[in-house]
Amino acid sequence: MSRASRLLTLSPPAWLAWGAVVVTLAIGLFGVPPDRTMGDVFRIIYIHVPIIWLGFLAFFVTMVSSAFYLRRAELRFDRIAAASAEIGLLFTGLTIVTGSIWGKATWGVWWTFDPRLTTTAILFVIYLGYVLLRASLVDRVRRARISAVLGIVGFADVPIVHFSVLWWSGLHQGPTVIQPGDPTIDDRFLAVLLANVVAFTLLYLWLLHRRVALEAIRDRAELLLEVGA
Amino acid sequence: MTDVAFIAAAYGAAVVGLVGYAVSLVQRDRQARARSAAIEHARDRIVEPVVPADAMPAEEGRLRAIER
Repeated sequence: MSRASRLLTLSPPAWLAWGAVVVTLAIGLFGVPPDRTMGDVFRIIYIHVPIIWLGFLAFFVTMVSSAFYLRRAELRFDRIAAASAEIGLLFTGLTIVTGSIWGKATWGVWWTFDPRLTTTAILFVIYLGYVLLRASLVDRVRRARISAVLGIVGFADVPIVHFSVLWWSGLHQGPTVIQPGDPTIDDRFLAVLLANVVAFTLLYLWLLHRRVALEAIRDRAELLLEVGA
Repeated sequence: MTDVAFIAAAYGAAVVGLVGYAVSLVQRDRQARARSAAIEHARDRIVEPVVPADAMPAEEGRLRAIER
């Protein structure tokens, strides 16, 4: 089967998720006016903000699934936790990259040890450690138990990232949507931003579904080897 | 760099990251299925048929349990 025909055989949820992302990003690029202060470069918001919110959601799912695993010792919860952590790590990495580009455009530097940037980098390292730890442990049950603890403890950095702009002074702007009172962002910008969040949520759910399925196949192969040994 | 270049760099990086990850998922899925099938095939060839056909082997029970 050629690559093109393989693309056409994507499942309806995959088409929906990727299609929504393409459409909402296009609206962000071409369907709203530029920002009065930042100009066109503000359009990076439509990719930068949804992916960090989805990164937070992914780590939240990891934390909840890890807690369920510790309580019920069912490997399906470990699979969800592992899958979501990997996707959250991807989203956090992309947040740092897109934020760095935005920072260069607006602040004139690619990186600065601003509280928001630093705590986000720490978040990335925590979940990088989570993924590497899982890769280094052979025993399935031990791996699940240890990474569940890290999956719960690691989430403590998420609220620190969110509130860092309020607790400490730095270059990064404060919250404009999730804050006490009404959002300070223009309604048209907010509507497109929320549409992007919905689109990226669909993409996250599709990626999570595929990643959990992959983990299940690997678990089955490991078990087959154990049974055969 | 102009605004357009910054926007293109940010969107490009994100798209490459997301699409690259999705492609890697599909590839890893394919490899895992092939590995699992190969293990199953090899296992079927070495296990002696000592279990009655109407009884569920213990390992099948364990497999089903982990698939829950």
